[in-house]
Amino acid sequence: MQNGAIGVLNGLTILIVEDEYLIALEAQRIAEEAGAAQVILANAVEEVRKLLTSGVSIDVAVLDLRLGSEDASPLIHEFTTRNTPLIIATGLEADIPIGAILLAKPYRDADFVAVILSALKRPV
Amino acid sequence: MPQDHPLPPPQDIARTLTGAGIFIFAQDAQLRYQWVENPPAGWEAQDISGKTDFDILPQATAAILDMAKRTALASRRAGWTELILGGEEDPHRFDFYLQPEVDPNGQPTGLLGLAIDVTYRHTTPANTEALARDSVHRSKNLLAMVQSLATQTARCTAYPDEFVEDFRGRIQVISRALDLQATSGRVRLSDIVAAEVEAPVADSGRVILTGGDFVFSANAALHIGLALHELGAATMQSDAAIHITADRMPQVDGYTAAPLRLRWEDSEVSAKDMHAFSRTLLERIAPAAVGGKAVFVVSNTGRSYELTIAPNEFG
Repeated sequence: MQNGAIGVLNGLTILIVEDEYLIALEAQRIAEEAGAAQVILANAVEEVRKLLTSGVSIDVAVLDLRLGSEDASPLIHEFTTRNTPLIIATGLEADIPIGAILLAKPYRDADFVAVILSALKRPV
Repeated sequence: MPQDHPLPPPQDIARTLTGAGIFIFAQDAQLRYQWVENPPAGWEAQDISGKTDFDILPQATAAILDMAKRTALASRRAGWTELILGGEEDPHRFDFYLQPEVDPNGQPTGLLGLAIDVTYRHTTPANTEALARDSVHRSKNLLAMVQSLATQTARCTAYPDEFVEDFRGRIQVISRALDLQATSGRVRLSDIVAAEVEAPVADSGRVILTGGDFVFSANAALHIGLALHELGAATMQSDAAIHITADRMPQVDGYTAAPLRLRWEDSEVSAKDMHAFSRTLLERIAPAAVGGKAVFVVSNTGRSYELTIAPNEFG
């Protein structure tokens, strides 16, 4: 764990929606080292929709809005209607909707953990 | 008798066309394609030969092209024409040179043509801004990938020198992938193999490439490059023979069209202690990036690696 906090994400199920697997792998490492119980990776809008309708319980989602040529922004509404805390991970801040929690790429371990705690309204 | 100016080898001509993004073709009097060279991304020459534009293109696009070609045939005069093809959603601007062919009686027998995609010459300020935003997005994503490569490489190396060597090698793959994308816009398997396998081992005689010379998306080219780099790095200090082949698989469930199978086989027997991250790159990252699966087998006689690549990642 690099400047993150071991155990602060204990027990959480975190969904990482990211088309670049190298980046998703890094997010998974940070989340697991911070204690996440389960990290689910997805890289396409339809895959996320199937996951949401499958009934799996997600505590927080980290969403890249550009999945290759696919625009993932329609998923924002689907997460908010389910009251799933949502973080937008992007390299372009102008991309994010007003009010969304931003995780700017590239990010440090501590940044990743801090925004998740912020989304969950837990003290950092 | 030696010629003062011998014709260049056909493969050099083809490579030049690919680099310049030029598509050349011949059609008969009924405007059926007789041959094509360097067709646009996503097309294979054998898919076009014998067909008309109406057989292979959206009808509205085909109608525009057909009219231009019939006008050229009727006039019997060669010339340039600029056409916008692809519809409102993805318009592309092409310069076409159409040269009618006639028999001794002056009757048209077909035409020769070439097409150049010149869309990039017509960017507007709005396009420029969008390109700049896209460039920032891609750069930040690339930095995030490099950061991940650095972290994962560091976790699998015991000494700073080893980290520098491994990390530098992987950064070089990304650098070469960007070069290949910038020079041709499309990346052929032979170019990836030349850059990631033949050049590092400095002995192209050890590397045999068979099967189709498929063209890959930028994403697939990068991750195939990373996979081949990991495999090739283990053979740098040996004289292991390497055989790489690519072919289309039969149609399988889960894909809209036939996927591609890329297979590596070598006689390397001293690379069993491959780092965990190298295996992760081969077995998880590369297949995830190209929408496929991977199988990596190490035996007493060598190694084999098979990567399935989804149809939308190659042409």
